[in-house]
Amino acid sequence: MSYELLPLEVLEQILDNVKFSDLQNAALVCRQWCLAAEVLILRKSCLTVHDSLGGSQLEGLRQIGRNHVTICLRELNMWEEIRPALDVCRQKFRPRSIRISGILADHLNRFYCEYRDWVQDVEQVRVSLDDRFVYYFEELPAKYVLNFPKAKYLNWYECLYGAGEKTVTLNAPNLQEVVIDDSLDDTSVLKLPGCTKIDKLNCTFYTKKMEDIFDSPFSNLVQLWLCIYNELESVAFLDNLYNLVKLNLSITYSKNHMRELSWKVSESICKCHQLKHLQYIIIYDISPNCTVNLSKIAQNLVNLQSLDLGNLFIELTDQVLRFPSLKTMKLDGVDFANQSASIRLDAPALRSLSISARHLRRIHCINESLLRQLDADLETLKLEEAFLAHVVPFLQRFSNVRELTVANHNHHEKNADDSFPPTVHLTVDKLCFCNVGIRLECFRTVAAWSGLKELHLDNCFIGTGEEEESVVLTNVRQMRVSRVQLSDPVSKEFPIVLRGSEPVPFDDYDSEIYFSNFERILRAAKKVIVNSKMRSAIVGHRVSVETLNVATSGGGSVEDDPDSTVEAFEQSIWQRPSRRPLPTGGHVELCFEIPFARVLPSDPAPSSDGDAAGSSGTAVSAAAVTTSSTPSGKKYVIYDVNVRLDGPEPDPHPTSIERRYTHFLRLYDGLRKQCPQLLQGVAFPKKVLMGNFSAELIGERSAAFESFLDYIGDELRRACQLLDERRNEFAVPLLESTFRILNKIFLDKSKCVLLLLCRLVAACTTSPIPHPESEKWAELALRRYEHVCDTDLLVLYIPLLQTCLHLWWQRGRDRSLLEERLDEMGKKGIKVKGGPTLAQAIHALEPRAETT
Amino acid sequence: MSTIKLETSDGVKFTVKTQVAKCSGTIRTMLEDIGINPQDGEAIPLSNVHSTILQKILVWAEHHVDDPEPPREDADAAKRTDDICSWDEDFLKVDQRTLFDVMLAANYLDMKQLIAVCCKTVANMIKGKTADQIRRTFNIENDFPPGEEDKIRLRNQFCEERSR
Repeated sequence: MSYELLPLEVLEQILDNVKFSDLQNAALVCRQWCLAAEVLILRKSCLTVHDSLGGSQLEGLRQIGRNHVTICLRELNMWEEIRPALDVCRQKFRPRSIRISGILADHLNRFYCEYRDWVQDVEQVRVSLDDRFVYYFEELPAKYVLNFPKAKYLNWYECLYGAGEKTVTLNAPNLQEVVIDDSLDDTSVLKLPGCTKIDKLNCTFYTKKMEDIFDSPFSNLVQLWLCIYNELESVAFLDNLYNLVKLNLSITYSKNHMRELSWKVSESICKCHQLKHLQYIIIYDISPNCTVNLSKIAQNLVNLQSLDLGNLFIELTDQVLRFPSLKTMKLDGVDFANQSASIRLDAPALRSLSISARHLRRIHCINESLLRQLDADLETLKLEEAFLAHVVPFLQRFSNVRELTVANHNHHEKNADDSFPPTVHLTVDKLCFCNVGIRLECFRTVAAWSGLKELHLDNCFIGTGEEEESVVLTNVRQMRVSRVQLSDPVSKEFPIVLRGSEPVPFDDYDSEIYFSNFERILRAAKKVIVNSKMRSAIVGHRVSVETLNVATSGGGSVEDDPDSTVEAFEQSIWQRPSRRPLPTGGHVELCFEIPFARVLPSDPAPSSDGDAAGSSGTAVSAAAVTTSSTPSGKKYVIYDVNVRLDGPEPDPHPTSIERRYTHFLRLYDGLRKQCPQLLQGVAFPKKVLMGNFSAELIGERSAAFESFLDYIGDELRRACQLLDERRNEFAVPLLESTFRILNKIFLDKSKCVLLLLCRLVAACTTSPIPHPESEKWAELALRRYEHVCDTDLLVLYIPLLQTCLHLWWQRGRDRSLLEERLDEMGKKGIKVKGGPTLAQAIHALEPRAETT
Repeated sequence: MSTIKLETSDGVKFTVKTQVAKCSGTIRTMLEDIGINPQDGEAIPLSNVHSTILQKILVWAEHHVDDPEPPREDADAAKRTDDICSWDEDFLKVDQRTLFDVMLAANYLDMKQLIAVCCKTVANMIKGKTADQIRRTFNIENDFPPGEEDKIRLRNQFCEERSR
């Protein structure tokens, strides 16, 4: 097998997922990969020509065998220097799309005049005028006419700072999609006459005007996206857009005609009966003269699915607004002409609402609302007032809201004194704060909201005040933090944590510390919840029978599902209050410690269906607190047993295994049978369950020792089973911990230890990519093998050396020592080539299925 | 629930729920279009698939049997490879040989979703690597004739990623 033999279609699909730079590397792997990459490179790239191509590069250009359909020309300044490359392109390629960037209109015109026959039939024209890096001017006419009769797509970008000075007329009557991005240079003029077929238009204007560019009506327009920063004096372009489905308007009016123009725009919008998406925002400030009539919109635009009105004064009648398909409604920064106005909605599909908190009281639904998301803008309100007077009452009326965003949309709050009272208790799943300054104590309140699963903090400022202890959000499963600062400017510890999760990382910009976890969303560890009941019943590391009974007989089935309500788990973990002290007196002690125990269901629910689990949450929590056991599933306690060789220094490689109560009981019973006198003083489990098996006890290789090894055997069997399933990634950690345990008990070079070590090396190196620890284990194995004389084990040495040789090669390490050693062995008459692999050799010693 | 029998290249017969088997476009076509009648008790021969791989694929199919049709992806849209679900991620933590065989078999059996997730997994192994590192990762031999690599580099130097 090899990945060069993959069928082309599969290889293509693989490479379709990688970035362009990776694609170029993949093309250099082998011939088959090159073939697969070629198709994708052609599809995803454009041929780029600029004026600094040297002679050898021109030769390369001549040798290109593929037909590029997209040609990109950059920096046409040095005309004489780019011409040879353009001539090659003219001979070789028939472009369908031409992109010209970093030039002036003069260059564009000259290119067009000389290469007209080559480019005039293109379907797509993309021009990016830029006078920042142009150092070569010519005095040429002030007006140009360019013809692109077949062009369907035009992108016209300007980045001009005064050197525009030209009028360009593009005759392209068949244009369907046009994007224009204007600059502040009003000396550059663009004209697109006779474009009646445009269906998608997207323009950003600073100085240009619609009526100057286009001279024909847009009766075919389906999508219109306009962002106009210069004050509008005419809105005639909005007339007769009967086919419009999507309209985004961000505009501003000239002060003198505000009332009249905004009225006209409202009228025009209401005539676009096909509209499904409407966004209408006034740039800059809200003025009572800019109005929109929401009642009329509801009457005329029955197909609306999303509505976004910003910085407008809303006029309303008393009638119910019927929006049969409306899903999202945003009314950010709006105000109402009539202060007692209320919005009475008949919008059964409405799921998301965004509005200033102080207007929440105006929103009413005449039927049961399924509103799920609410975004409340604080504006000038304090958190306390916003929550108590607006948000909480609203959520009482709209009880299906599960996602709440509290934001300051217009400014970033740098004062973190704000807070809401601890009496606020919301039943939302997801809470976002955005641009809010908030005291840390509020998150203590939030921590008690039992339904909360997700917290987002964007651009927030958190006041830690005198508080030193961080807030643990026990229920929250996910936290996303982006650019959050603390009032304590030097603290590098984020004061809000999820249980079992790593801390939020920070960045230091100009000695300002920002916390963000953009890259990876923090997730809480599953199942780790502290059981207050158990903790109080347990002193130190002593576990009483009663406590165990509480834990084991707590019947009911608990689902291990990330989305079910967390209350069910609230009582399922016992954590060791502190670590046992290191032995004094300089001797080394084998120490078993149980750092924590947790209750698990005997049959972990395999379900990964979040929705279903979410809805069954309450039922689960009810079942969990009843003590009668149900036949369907019993809970059990899993103890994490930490095994360490503690001397004056703590063991650098502590090892953990998981055991159940029954395992301990079996161990205890076994021990009592074999060494009754030793165990006379050990009461189970009232006294010390796991704590002080002294080194002597183990040293005598007593039954306890053997019995304990049996359990290790379990672990090994599981690891091998995983190897059989070719799931090395999972097997490696099991093998690692088994190895460490064995190594604490046996000598470094005992057979079982070395065998296991080789097994570990084999598992690490047959993974798709060598395991990150593989070199470490391989080195250890090599060291241990230095002076081994057990002939049984020497069988593994050559395969081990060969494995390491390959690994060293993969990692680009110096292989001379290994090669020397193999040579030495060869000279002794030992066969060093063509032998079994390490895994096969292990199999021969101790047959297991993994190598078959 | 109706079942059908499948026979692998090494002669092992599997009895599979029809619904699960139909995750494979190839088997679906055999049953629906060509009209092979599985009730006869005759096993459908899958001559390109070994039993160990089929077993693994059936585990996948069983898990994903109720998945909805995935939405059509825009061919030009940037592909995501970080959207592999954790079950699949665990499922594909196998050695290269197995991953390779699963991909080949999924291709033969025409299981689009499984191929897609395998391809993303492999793509993630390619990302950020040089050609040489890719060859080492997948044990691929460089079979270019001398000078060919330079030619590829030469012609690709003019290629820039096309923004939409």
